Amino acid sequence: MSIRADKISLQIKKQEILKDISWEARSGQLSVIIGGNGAGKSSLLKVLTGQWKAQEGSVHYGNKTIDQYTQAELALKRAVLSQQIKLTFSMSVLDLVLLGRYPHVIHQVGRKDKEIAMNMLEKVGMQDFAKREIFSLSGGQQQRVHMARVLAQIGDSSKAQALFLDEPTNSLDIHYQHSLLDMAKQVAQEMKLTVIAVLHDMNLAARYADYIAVMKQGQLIQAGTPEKILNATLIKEAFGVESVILEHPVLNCLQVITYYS
Amino acid sequence: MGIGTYSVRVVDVLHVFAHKLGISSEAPESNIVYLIWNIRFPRILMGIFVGCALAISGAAVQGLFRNPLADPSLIGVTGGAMLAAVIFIVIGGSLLAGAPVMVQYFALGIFAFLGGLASTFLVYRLASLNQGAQTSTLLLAGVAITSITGAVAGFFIYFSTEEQLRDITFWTMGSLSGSNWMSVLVVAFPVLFSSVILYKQARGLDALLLGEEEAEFLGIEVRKLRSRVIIHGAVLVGVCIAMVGMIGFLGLVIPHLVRLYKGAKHHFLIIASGFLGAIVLVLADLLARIVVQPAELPIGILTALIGGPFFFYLLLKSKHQYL
Repeated sequence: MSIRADKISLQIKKQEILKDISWEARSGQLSVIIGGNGAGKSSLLKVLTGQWKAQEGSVHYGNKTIDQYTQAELALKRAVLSQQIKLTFSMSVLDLVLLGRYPHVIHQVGRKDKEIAMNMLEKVGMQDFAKREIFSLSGGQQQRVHMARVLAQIGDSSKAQALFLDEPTNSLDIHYQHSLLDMAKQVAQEMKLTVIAVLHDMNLAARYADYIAVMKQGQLIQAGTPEKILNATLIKEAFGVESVILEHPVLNCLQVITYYS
Repeated sequence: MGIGTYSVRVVDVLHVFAHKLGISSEAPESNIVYLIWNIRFPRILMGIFVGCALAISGAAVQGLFRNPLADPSLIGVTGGAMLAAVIFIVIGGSLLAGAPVMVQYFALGIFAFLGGLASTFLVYRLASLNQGAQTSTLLLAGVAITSITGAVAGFFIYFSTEEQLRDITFWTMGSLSGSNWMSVLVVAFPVLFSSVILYKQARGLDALLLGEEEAEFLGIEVRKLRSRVIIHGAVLVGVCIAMVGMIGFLGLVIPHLVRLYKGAKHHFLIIASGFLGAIVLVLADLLARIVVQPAELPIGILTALIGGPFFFYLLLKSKHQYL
């Protein structure tokens, strides 16, 4: 299921947040939205997930617009991993992942839901923690458990589905930043998901994204594969910093070195 | 049921029930029948319904606000009921002075119930003024309304007579002593109905543990869930306050006790809170009846006096896994 934004404009309290954005993210790919603070990345994500409604333009999931889905139907189409999730009451890791099964369950979770939940915990390397209380885990571990939860929401993905990640690497150390994005890319390919992530770090974007959209002041200023679009002029325009773009010495991707002058 | 100022042997208690159920044809002493069947039995049933209602509404409201300190007073219901009751005692009492005791008793209850619902509605409306009800504004509106109703109630209390003041004080401390079959029936239906509705919100409340945004991503219509929990939570508390006065603390603590041992999943939490609330209130009422015989302690004092330190102890004991 591809996700397509068609001429989206969004105003909040007379302020223009998004201006005339048209963009498409394809299934099987990890698409990354980058841009400076206040560029409108998170707002765009909120419109794409259906959380906010744009005044103009439309969002298409496959060949339907997003307004044609009810809240419950939408929950079967896409899952969202938010930046920060603060729980008030603790629960077991497995129970938390099982919450992801909510849209699929009519009354109580069954054996199949538990199987899916355990599979997803294994995917994020947290299967040994299933019985632990979520509050006893570190921030990074909790984030991985939440990743398992949104994957459980997608489930076996026999239907075309999408996964949104809002700055998913924020609370993670270097190791898990890589492992989470690597996983995001993997599930995009394996499960034929449309994965859309908002990221800050250009090097992570260059390393993992199949496709990058660059935003500035509510507008989409450039979109394409990292190799095609990343250059010093663009980075100067989007972030206001100088940069040198190199071939990664080991991997087959670009490396961005930024500096301020 | 046999325990109290006038103690009755277990055999006699059973005899009364056997007789009432038609199993035993031989009638026990009529004053024992009256005491057991018309005073103590309805009182115990009242304790069960009220304890259950307060604890369940506490569990649901805490789940909604995702706040361990939330209790039904946050949605304005207690403040409104309190104000209505005070106004009734100070002004209405003299108007109804000639009416039978039963009428006065129910009139106060109805007035308090309506007051509770009205202020809850007001809180909800205030919070919805800009862009639909947000839970955080709801919380603030609740606090504001509760303090305003408190202030206005204080104003009336200031002008009340000695006797009215006494009535108000006893009412705010709560008591099951006025229970009779009629009041039990009045409480039973709304309590059962609203408890079932709240139980049905259990899965939504589970999802809400992640936050409102996350719950929406999981397909929950948070707005509907919120209004249901508020309305039925307010009905549960309003009915109880109306019938037995203010019994604090139960709605706050019972759900925590359940969470401490069994986690925050709401299907279990709501049912277990209901049972535990009922048991605790019946036992507290028993204590209230026997500690200062032949008089009675207001039950609100007992629930707070015993429950507070106990709750504190539990928190200290488990501070590492909880909160």
